[in-house]
Amino acid sequence: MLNIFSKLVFFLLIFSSMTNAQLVPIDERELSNAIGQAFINIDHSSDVNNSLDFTKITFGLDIKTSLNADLLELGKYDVAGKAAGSADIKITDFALGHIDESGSIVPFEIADPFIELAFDNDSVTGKQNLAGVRVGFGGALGKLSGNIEYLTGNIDIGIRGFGKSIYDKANTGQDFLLWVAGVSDNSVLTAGAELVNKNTGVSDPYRAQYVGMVNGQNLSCDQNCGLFSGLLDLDFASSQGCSVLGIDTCFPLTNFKSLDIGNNGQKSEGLFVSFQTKDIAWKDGSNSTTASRGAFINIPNGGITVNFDQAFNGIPRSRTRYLDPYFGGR
Amino acid sequence: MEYLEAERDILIRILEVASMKIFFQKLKARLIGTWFLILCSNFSYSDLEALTDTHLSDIDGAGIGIVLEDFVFNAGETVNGGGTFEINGLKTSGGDDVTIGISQFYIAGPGSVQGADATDHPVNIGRLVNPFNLELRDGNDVGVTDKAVFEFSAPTKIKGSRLSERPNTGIRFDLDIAGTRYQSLENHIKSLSIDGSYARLWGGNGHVEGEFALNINTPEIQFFACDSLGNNCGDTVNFRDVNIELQLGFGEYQSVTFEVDDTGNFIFEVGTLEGKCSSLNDTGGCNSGVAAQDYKDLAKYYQSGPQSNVYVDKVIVGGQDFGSTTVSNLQIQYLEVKSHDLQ
Repeated sequence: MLNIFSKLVFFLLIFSSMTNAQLVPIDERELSNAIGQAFINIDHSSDVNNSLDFTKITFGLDIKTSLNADLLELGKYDVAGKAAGSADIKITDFALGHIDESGSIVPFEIADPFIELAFDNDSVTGKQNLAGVRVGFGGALGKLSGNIEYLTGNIDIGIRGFGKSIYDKANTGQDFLLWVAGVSDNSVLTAGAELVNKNTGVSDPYRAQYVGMVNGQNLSCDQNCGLFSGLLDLDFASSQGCSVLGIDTCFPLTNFKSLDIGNNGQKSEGLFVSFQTKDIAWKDGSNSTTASRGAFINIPNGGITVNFDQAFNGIPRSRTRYLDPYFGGR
Repeated sequence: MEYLEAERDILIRILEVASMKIFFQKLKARLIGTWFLILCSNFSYSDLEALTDTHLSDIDGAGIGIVLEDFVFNAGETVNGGGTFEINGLKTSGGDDVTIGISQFYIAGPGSVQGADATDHPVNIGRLVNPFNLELRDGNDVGVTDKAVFEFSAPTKIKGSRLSERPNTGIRFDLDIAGTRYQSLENHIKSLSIDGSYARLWGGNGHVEGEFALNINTPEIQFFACDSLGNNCGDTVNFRDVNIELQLGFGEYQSVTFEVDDTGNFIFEVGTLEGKCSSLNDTGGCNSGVAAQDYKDLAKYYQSGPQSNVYVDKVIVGGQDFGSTTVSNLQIQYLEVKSHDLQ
């Protein structure tokens, strides 16, 4: 009798406990309020002229990060005319984001990353070849640091600064020519720079080690210009063999140890890294960037702007670790 | 004789008393036991007391080993007339419906011919002396102080060949946008090993925290495209001798969290190192001194903390060699990933 009583009590208690612990499912109405399922888009496009099809997968993500890597090396294989052991892209002590003077992490910001595949339709055999893949960002903002030893890609760097920086580098004769051209210490001069062959001054986006003004490119004056600033458009002020008025206009990529990606504090579009088996024109809206065979990195124009002092003297590396070898290990 | 009878009566009385005593003792014991259990039940009913992390951390079982013998997974084998499964609900940026068909999704042994003959080629995944493990670990052993840590781990890395335990796997994606089919993409991985990988989870401040390691080792990963019917496949993109080691999180020093906010979007975070140092210099670096614990912790993090490495010996396409790829000693000091709607 006692056992039966005990069992009855236990049963009731267990039953009560189970009721107490029961999980209540979310009803359909509550579930219907949940959003966030549409963070992936898949788009298809064609480049009929080049028999290419593209499939692009875009992720609706906002990413903030601070990271370091000892080495980022893509496409290391020997190529005729290039240094043995070189690579399409080689960056040592690579970092995204930085640490400011107050010890706060200032992250590298990425919006809407995507993966895009390129398919080559072989009209003769009918075969579909996977011709390329790229990883890109709808927007990017922040510091990219590293020792850029080799770079294949499209990095148009805008140079904008005061004439004083030019005067500081110029000799007496060059000072005179600049004075004739109406360039003063306060004149704001601009020039474009891109990956270049240091020896020839010719644009060379393949395994480049230098960035600078290509042959025939002139300095131009934007502000505080003299009456004769138009003289800067003449040949004497154009870059030839990486020199204007005897002043170097090409600089080792390793000088630029920390690059600001972005445009006036806003995220830049068009930053991507790609790999392709043939030259492919990747499209971002109305813009098209032709990437050469192999590994390729694209930083769109306006993505990086340096002043003349930075161009001449390089950009020092920003702190990227709390114990940073570039800051004496601390 | 009378003496004996009297003695017997006494003995019987004694036995009766003893018997009754035993009966009452039993009754008393039952009552005590019953009420004890009732009380316990009531305690349980009224308030289930969770084991503290300290108590849980004392638990150190051998865990559960998992070995899959003669294992074959073969889904959506269209090449053999089977079905597919599809991922629906995706959109283009223009709002058209997108369907991704999944076929030739297989995990099998050597000789499975890129999924075309998976069924007859099973594989052993794990071995009894080195299985996949489900385990509750003492957090003090893995950088989580006085907490129990749930761990799911792949077999440990050991020297020597385990080719018979390394599966081939692959998948085929077919793209359909608004009823039009486009190219398909196939991926095949040979002799895959994820030895040394693990996921560790523990209770944090109101949410689950964790750390993760994923190791991928394979002699070859292949990608190639075919037409919408799976024919006219083009050149294969071969990634040879692929070694990937990904590590996220460093115990409770830098935990990984995954949450869903009230808008339904997810937030994935790798904890920040900001604030780990109590004394900063004028450039933002740690200035606590080498003897300080926070300095030692940071030094340990940078020297032996979570590191990710990627190495691909060769990328070969149509007989052309595009060389090696290396990412070494990647450390994530901070990562926040938030999803949002694209439409």
